[in-house]
Amino acid sequence: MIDIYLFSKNNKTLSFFKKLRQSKSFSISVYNPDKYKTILRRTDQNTFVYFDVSSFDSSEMGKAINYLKRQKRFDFGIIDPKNFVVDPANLFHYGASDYIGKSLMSGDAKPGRIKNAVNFYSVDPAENDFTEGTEIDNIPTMLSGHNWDNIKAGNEYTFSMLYIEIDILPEWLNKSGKAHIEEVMDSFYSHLHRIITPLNGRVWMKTDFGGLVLFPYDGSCTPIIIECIKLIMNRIIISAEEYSYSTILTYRMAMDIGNTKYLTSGNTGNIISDSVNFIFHFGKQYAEPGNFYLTGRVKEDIPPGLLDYFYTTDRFQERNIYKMKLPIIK
Amino acid sequence: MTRSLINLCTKALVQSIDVHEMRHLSKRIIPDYDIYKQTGFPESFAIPSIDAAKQIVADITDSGLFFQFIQNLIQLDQHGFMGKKIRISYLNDIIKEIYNNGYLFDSENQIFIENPKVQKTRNWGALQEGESYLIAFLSIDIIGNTQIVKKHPKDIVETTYTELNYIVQNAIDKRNGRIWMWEGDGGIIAFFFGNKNTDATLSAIEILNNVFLYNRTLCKLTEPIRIRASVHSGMCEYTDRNDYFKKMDVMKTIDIMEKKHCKAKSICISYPVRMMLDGFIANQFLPLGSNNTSQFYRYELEWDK
Repeated sequence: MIDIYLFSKNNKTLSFFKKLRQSKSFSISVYNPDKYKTILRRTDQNTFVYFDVSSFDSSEMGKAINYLKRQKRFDFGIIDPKNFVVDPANLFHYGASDYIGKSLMSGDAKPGRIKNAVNFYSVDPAENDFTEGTEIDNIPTMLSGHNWDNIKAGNEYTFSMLYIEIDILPEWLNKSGKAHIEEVMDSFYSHLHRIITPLNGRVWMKTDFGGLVLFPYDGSCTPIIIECIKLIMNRIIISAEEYSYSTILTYRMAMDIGNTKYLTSGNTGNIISDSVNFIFHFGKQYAEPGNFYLTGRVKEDIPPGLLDYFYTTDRFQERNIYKMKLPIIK
Repeated sequence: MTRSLINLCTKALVQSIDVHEMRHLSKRIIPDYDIYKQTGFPESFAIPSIDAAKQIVADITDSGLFFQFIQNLIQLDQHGFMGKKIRISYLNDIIKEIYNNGYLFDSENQIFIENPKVQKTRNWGALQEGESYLIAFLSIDIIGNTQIVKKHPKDIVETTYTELNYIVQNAIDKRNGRIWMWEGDGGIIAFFFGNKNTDATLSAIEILNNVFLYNRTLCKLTEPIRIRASVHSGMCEYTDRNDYFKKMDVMKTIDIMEKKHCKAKSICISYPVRMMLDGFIANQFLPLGSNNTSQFYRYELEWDK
């Protein structure tokens, strides 16, 4: 799969890539071009960057192109829906792999053409700044405090992010009706609220079987880690007291610290955040049922006495991942 | 009892049952109760309803049997009297007023108990001295207490035991357990309501888990606190006297469990307790000795490698 970071807020550009976004050969993450420096600081050679210059004036556009030209960690292409760029060929002299001008944008992006652009240069691994095991988690932190008092909708902050879902039993999915699943989810959210409220957590976005919880970040997420450990350790108790199905139910959890613009729950449809994208991928694609994972940044906050109960596992999207050992259930 | 509650009960009797039924009701609670003697009316005289009701409510309240009286009213309302259906007026108002006075009706045991949000007493405001009840007991034992006290400064030991006590109290409060005995190195906690065996067992698991986390995060001792827990249930005569309570059979069994079958960082439960647990909880406890004849079962906190 080809990972593409598309920096654009132009509808014409987004529509040009619409079909490609549905293709299984491409994973396209869309970002606000205004945040390109923050996001590109964490991008590596496995990602191809398409940058739409239409939202910038000529001065900003020049700065952005100069910034892209200086990067050696990834390949990039320029999208120019209004034909702002006077000398497109010059872009190639400075390392661009593609230029998509106004005339090309009347239809949909062709997969073959995009693949050609991605393969236009091959990055020499020797030139790659990143080595195996390098953390790219050193994003700038914008502490949001330990409660919500100073957090204002529309501003960007650093949050502790917990993706949490209940592991719905396969037989429930196949055989039981919608009402039953709704009943289970009511119990789940009720339990989740009781857990996260003392920690100032808020369910920010819901998924089918859980959601993304945001906690204000004041430089430590130790209490949240301990609460997650308890959720794993107390599976028997939770299954017996929070649910009435006489069977063991488990939660899957993935935790990271990341930046995002904060918008109130329910108005988050247009959030463009690398961190939010990551936590969803982390929770949905990587986390296994009944397990608790966290990233290298979060690991720093595990109390030393509990470090033995976490071990490294495969890296995911260039991040070191740690997985909690499980207490044995018979 | 408040004046308004007594008035409500009097009105309920007058408007719901006749004097004959009132006499029967009062004899259920005080078998040798004589309404004529109490009111002073001659037996040849028909006692007015209001006088009978006032006298019965006053006498029952004075005898400390008010909750039994209300429990009987509830039974009358639910099951009637000698095949006759009876609706007790103001019953919901009475129960509401009792709730406002800090008591809840436990429908499973059909008795009033104190509302734990208002007050907590050893007998839940319900168990009577000398009466027998089915009770589940959780025993917590801190292993090596003497060594801990010898090896560490007094203030650290005190802080540690205060925090340990908080862990125990937190686990049992939410399950309406009551500490019946607590000495330096552990104690006995009683559970009486709802799924008492499950409550005692889950309290034990929660305490074990939280002590594990406490040892690895906050504990200031040079070595981790080690506890062992036992859960057993059985018929037990209620008493306020711990010296008498310690000699009862349930306590003897708990003593055997603790000394012979329990080990550090584990929970031992008896067969009657395991029988009452949901299958997925019971499965966490493995039999000690032969599977068929085992009287005791054990859970240990073990981790995947």
